[in-house]
Amino acid sequence: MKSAPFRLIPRLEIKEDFVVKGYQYEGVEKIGPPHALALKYYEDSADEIIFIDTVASLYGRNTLVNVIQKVAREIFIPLTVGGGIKKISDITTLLSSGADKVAINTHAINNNQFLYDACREFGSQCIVLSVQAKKNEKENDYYALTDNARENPGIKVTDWILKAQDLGVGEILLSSVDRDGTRLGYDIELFEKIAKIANVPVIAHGGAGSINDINKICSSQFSDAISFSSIVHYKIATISDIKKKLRENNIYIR
Amino acid sequence: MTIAVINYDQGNLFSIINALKFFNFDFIVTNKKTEIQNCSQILIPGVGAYDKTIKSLERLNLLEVIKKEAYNKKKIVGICVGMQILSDSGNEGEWTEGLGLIKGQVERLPTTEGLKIPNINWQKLKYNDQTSTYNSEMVYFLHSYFMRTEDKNIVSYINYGELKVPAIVKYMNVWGIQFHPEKSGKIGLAILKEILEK
Repeated sequence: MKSAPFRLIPRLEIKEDFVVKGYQYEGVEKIGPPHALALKYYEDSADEIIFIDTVASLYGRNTLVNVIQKVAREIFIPLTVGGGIKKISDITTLLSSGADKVAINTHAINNNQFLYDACREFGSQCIVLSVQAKKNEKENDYYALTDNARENPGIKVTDWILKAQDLGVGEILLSSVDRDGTRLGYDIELFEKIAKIANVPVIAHGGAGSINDINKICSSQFSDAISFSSIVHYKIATISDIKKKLRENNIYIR
Repeated sequence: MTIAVINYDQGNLFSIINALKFFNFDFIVTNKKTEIQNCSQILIPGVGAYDKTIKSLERLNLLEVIKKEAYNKKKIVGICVGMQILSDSGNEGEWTEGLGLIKGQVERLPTTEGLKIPNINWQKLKYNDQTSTYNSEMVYFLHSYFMRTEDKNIVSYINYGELKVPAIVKYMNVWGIQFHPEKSGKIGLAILKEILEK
């Protein structure tokens, strides 16, 4: 039984000053300006907000500093920022711009020492491991992709998470590449697998298309938090709608 | 009324500064002894480890100033690790002596069924004074260590398994907030404002 409430976290994927939404990390549709959307979700009882620069890894830089600086003046909940983070100084810049946590994927896989150093320097509570999990149907197992799900370095998600926990990460943002943008619901199998080995909080992401999908993952108790984008971006439901339903089902939330 | 926000080159000051600006509080960000002495209260923000924070303050020669101002009845408000270092000692990193302004020790959270460490959660405040406006409100915690202190120093707490983990502590003119009021939405801001205005 969980004794802490599930956190509901909208995720804003950003490309060139716009919140966008893709399908399995491919092709994108423009949703709106990040500041206005973040403010709307804050007012609508979001517990945290995640911002991901989707092209940062490609261009080798995170362009969210200005967005975060502006957003943090008005939004007083935890903000996590990810995308293209590869140096200690990148983290310093983001944290001093208003981010509370940073999410790292590609450069953590390519350079384990960097992940370790980041956890030592800023504390585990600041460092979120972002994992893009892609299922290999033949092996019935998941692999951790990098570069916004473009590259597959051949590392199994379970092995990587165990290692990253040893390196000191404080939280795991686990996204299903296959479900991303599909609205087919969360990949419960993936989160069940990881729940068995995770000793830090896990945020489940990928596939939320209805309140029912969210209810399912919360009831499964395989994660500590969930993030979602399409469901709120496309106004299928508001965060208050989702919370209302979860409360009715006796799921502990804020 | 000017608040001295202590800048010890480690904590992330951006969020707390935004919160102070939001309420139009008069404040300066400083690590200079005379400026701190001239302010009417001292705010110690915090992200980081106990030992590192004390060492930074030591390097800046600020430990004695803060203690002296506290003895002179100036209001001191510590947030997160800034709250923890108000205690006598902490065992995060190396065992380190704290400011000793609130009797207590800072220890790692115990392993508890259904809860993970770090404790990254919105949790329900329980006030010893149950008539408090904020009793049962939820605020955002992000920590792996907690202050073990006597009940009389505890204004509010959270239930962490069997353990009462202090959320707000107070001894005379010294206040400590374990959670992040600047990250706890409108409730957090209201709690922070109230403490700074008390």
